[in-house]
Amino acid sequence: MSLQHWFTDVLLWIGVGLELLSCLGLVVMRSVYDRLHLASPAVLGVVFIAAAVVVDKSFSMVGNKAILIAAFALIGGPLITHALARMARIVERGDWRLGAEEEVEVEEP
Amino acid sequence: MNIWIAATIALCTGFVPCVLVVVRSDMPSALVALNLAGVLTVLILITLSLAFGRQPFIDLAVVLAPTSAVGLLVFVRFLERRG
Repeated sequence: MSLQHWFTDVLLWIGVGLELLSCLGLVVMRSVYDRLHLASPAVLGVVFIAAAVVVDKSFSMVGNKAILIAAFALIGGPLITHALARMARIVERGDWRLGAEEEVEVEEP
Repeated sequence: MNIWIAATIALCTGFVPCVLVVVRSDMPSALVALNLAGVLTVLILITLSLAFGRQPFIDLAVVLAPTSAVGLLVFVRFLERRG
């Protein structure tokens, strides 16, 4: 087995392992925020699998598109996580802002 | 067995927890599971295109990645308005 194949295998299985761990965390946790916390590393799984594709196929058509997908996952993943957390808070409390539902009075200096 | 096929099969097992959460949990948790299922589908399309040697099929994954994210954001927006 050449070094290239060895690296491909390692990167691929790290990525698959991260994805499966994220799925496992989804079931194990009970709160939506805990689930979000454990589902976020799935983005890293995408990056590792894209890296495996690039190592295997180099910067060909497939490799470049794998990089594109990884870039999209890196940019979009945190945005989606933030949007989901905000939505969960709105569903739970009616407003996402801290203390908005309690009408906290702020003392002016 | 080709390593990409093995990876595809391993990734497919990840759908089981996602379906369990979608069926049994509340709406925000179901959307988290849907997000993860979308990521898994993108990765499965990548590994399948390499497993069968049909490399242009990776375009499906390139298209699915943004559309699944946008679809999820529409769901999120709808639930935010509903409160």
